Amino acid sequence: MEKISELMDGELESHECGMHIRRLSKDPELARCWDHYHLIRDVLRAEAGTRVDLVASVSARLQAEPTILAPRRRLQTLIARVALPAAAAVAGVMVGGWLSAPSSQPGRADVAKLTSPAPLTAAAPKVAAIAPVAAQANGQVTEYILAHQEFSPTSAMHGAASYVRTLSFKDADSTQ
Amino acid sequence: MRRAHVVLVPGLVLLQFCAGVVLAESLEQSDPLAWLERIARAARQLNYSGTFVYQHGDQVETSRITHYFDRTGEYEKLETLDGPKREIIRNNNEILTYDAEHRVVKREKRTPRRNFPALLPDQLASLTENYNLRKGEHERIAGYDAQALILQPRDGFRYGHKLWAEVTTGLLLKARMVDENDHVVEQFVFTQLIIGSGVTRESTRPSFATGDWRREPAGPDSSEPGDTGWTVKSQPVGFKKVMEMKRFKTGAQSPVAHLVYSDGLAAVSVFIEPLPTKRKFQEGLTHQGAVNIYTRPLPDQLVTVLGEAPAVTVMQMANSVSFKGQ
Repeated sequence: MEKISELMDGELESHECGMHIRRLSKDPELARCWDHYHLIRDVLRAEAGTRVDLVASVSARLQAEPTILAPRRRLQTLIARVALPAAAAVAGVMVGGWLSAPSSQPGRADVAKLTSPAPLTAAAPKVAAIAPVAAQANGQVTEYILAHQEFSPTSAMHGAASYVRTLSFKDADSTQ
Repeated sequence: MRRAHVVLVPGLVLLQFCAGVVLAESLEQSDPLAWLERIARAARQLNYSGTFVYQHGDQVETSRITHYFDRTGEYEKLETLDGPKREIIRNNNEILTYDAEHRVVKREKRTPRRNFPALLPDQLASLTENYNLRKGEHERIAGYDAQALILQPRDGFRYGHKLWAEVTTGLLLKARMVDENDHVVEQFVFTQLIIGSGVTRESTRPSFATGDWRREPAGPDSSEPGDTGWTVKSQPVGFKKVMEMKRFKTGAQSPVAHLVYSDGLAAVSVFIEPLPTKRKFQEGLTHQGAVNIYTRPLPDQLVTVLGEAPAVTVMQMANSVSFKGQ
């Protein structure tokens, strides 16, 4: 089953893939496992937009609780130690899941796609699947982008046009 | 000259020798790497003014840009033509952001770039390791003849780029960033442009009378290159550290650590500061245009990683930030 996970995550060599896909097609138990993994991935994917808010809201709730047994500092540290790595792990699983196949339909259809070695040898996950939200008004981030662009070869070639990112009216800093 | 080279037959070796000097020059210009250097040089040293269209996601915005260069330095003005009136003025190492809607002018001090050339020679070397660089077709853009350059990334940790440079000056007329699936992440293109004469220092001055505007002296007051004690343990292959510094801010007790990693074309910055207690911050993955931003709080620190690179790249770097001690 570990191999099935690796297959999904695109971590296997192409010759191994072929072998495990043949195993999948023969063993109903493994095939069920394959389907379950895809279901988990899809659920995680559906949750993608809310994962950060979840951590934030749990954190806010905990802070709102009266502090009886421990000072707040400890609680914050606890959240950082437990909740954030958990969120990171969830994000990691999602990235891993996206490695496998771009299809939104879980199931056997993906097996056929995986027989093509090309996506498996790709070094990076399917980045298009990760959709960041537009940054909210944040003077600090704008300042960081301006500082960053000093050292970016891309910005050096774009010249002053790079500044447009920090002026863009819909998702840039409102200087408030 | 290239065409001339093509028609030369082996028998005309002597003629080839005679034309050696001219050929060497044209070969240099035809080298895609030399083109990138020309583009970076042109962006800093030419006088130009024009209107360009900026596109990212499903947004399209028009802005006007003016760049003036003389012995006293570089002056730039970028003004939005759509939406709220905003301008960025750069006078050498000072960046002023004007927001007419809120009547605010913000000042940022830039790190002097004098000691940091636009494209470092060793960056150009790593660029060829991470991108397949080739010349494309000739195209007409904003009335100018342009040479296209294609930079195809070797993996999904960086975006693909297509650049169109004006043939005689090297000025970038159009630039496009694409993701792994060839979807446009960001694009800008001049629709009207004047290069050279007619552009004056005056045209880089702000358009507003700002006497009663609020002034925000923000930004780092100074920066100091050197070891910060922080490192990124597992950055994507091809990204090397090109700069490390401490940024000192007005009113802040501790400096902000700033590390820059580059693959020769894309750059990713890592900022580490004490966890803010008053200021709100947006955790997780966000973006401004093609710049992806990943904000990750540690127990006592806030890590902000950003760059014109795919989300997976900034996330991987943010997740491997660690303190190695000073």
